[in-house]
Amino acid sequence: MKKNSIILVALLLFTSVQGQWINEKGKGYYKIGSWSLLADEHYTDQGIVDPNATRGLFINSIYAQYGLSTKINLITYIPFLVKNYQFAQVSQTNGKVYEPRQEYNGFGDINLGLEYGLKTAGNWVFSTTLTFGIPSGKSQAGSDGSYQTGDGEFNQLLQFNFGSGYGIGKQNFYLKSYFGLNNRTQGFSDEVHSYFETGTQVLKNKLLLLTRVHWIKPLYNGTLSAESSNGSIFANNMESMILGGEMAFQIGKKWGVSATLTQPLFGKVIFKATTYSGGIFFNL
Amino acid sequence: MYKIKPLIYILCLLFFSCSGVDLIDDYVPPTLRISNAIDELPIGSSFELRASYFNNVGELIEEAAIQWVSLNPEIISIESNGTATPIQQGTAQIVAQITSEEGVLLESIVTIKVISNVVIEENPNTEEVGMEEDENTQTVTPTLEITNLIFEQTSHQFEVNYQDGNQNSTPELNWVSSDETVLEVDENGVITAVTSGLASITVSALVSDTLISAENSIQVIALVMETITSYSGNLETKSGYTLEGSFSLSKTEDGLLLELSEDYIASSTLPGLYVYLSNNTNTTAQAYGIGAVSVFSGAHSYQLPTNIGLMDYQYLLYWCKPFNVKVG
Repeated sequence: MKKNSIILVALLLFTSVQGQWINEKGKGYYKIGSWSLLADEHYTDQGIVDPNATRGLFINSIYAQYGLSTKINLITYIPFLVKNYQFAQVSQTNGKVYEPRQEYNGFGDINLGLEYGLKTAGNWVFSTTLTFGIPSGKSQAGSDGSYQTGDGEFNQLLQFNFGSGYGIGKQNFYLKSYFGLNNRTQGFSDEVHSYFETGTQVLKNKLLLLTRVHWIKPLYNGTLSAESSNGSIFANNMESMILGGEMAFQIGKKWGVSATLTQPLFGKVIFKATTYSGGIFFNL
Repeated sequence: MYKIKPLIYILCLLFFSCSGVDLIDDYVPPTLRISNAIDELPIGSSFELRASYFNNVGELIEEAAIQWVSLNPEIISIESNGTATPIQQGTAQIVAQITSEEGVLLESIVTIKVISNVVIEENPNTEEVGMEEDENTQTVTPTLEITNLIFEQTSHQFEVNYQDGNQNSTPELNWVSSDETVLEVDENGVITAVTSGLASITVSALVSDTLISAENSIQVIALVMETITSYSGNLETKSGYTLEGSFSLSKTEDGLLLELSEDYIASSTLPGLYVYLSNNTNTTAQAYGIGAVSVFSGAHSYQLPTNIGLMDYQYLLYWCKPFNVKVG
């Protein structure tokens, strides 16, 4: 298992969770939030669930999407405080502390991207997004280097997005999706991303309910392995299909709160755990 | 905005409240292990047996109060420090005992065969000595010859060949050892090694007032005690990761040598794979860390320091270090 995989998953979840269409020029969507994962199991490279010492990742971040023009949005995700930690390891037999609790706090990897509106056709909206994963986090941290806050590689994710509205009875829903190719460096395999999200607004449009599935599939073209990295903690070729659900409640005219829960359906070389996140968002 | 401040405080509180404990199920049955067991012990020597006590987490307890008992004290006597002294030939069981912290009596038993401390073998410098004549002998017709070869053993039955040309039966033979302190011989030609050294055995017979004889020079050598010098085992995955193959652990002049065989395979996708020698497969707390795994298939070896004993550890343990879990 490797935490940079987890961090990547976290970043992708955050960057895709907003459910926003392209903002008008000068308008923005902003969110400050926290994301938490606590895992005592992981998926192996064979997709088998194995136990592990309880590891946690807690991220405080800012997400911003700002309309530079009517067609171009600037998107950024800044994990300004990342806590990577492991529970103390204590003997059940005699209470001896084998390993004290460890943690590392630092800055995470920033995502910076541009979304460009391509076309509107009927109910369908098409756009493309190019996101740069900037290795601003620390790829080696803690006593054994495994408490990193970033993956140490610069990647470029190119997405083709499309979305539409639809109705079931009197209730209106939306659907948005994207397919993307993530070009990773430093020996990591490139990845194909598939994302589907659908949601609806209830309670006089004050509460947004949505669900999504995010599938990341590596192309197994990377060179990084435990063999080539001489026993390093870094692994490669992580795969995941994650199911998520979110509630976003509009409290004020321009702000609200959201809560998200995700659960991996299957994976390889990632933690198997439910993640929780919450935040405050602003439409300004 | 005042409504938002409490939420921000909650986020900060959550950030600093991520703590907990993993309880490791690290219980293993306490064990007492005789670390230098031997199969045979020659008379005239002594041997200090050593035993190690590992508690319920596999931790070696230094200077544990181990008691030694001989179940056959007439064959082997045992001192409190584990020194075994053979009394007579036979087979004896020696028991190491200790009472664990849980009040359980633990035992480790070794069966030792007491053997003669020396064996006989042909003296390599012996010149062929056949029949000899008495000074009064007129002819050399009757001959006496020792015929069978000597193999390395504690005692030996000589056979002779007597010929006089007349098909007469073998006359009464007289067996003599040149040094009874080294080699004893009985009236039937059975020689028994006593201690290391050189001695001659002479067989003679009086035939028609003629004394004929044959002689064989015998080397008596001391046995070298042998202890166990290597172990072998198989790797078995205890996780979802591939790990298989066989290995051996053997004593060398430079310390223990751990050799993985050609059939060894380990998953190269697992990060932080380390290899240990351990007495507990659920923790590396008491284990000896050999190092990070950098070879994931095929034969290779690790040279271990001289302070690691062959019997100090029970398992070869592959461990995912970042996540503190066993792989196999």
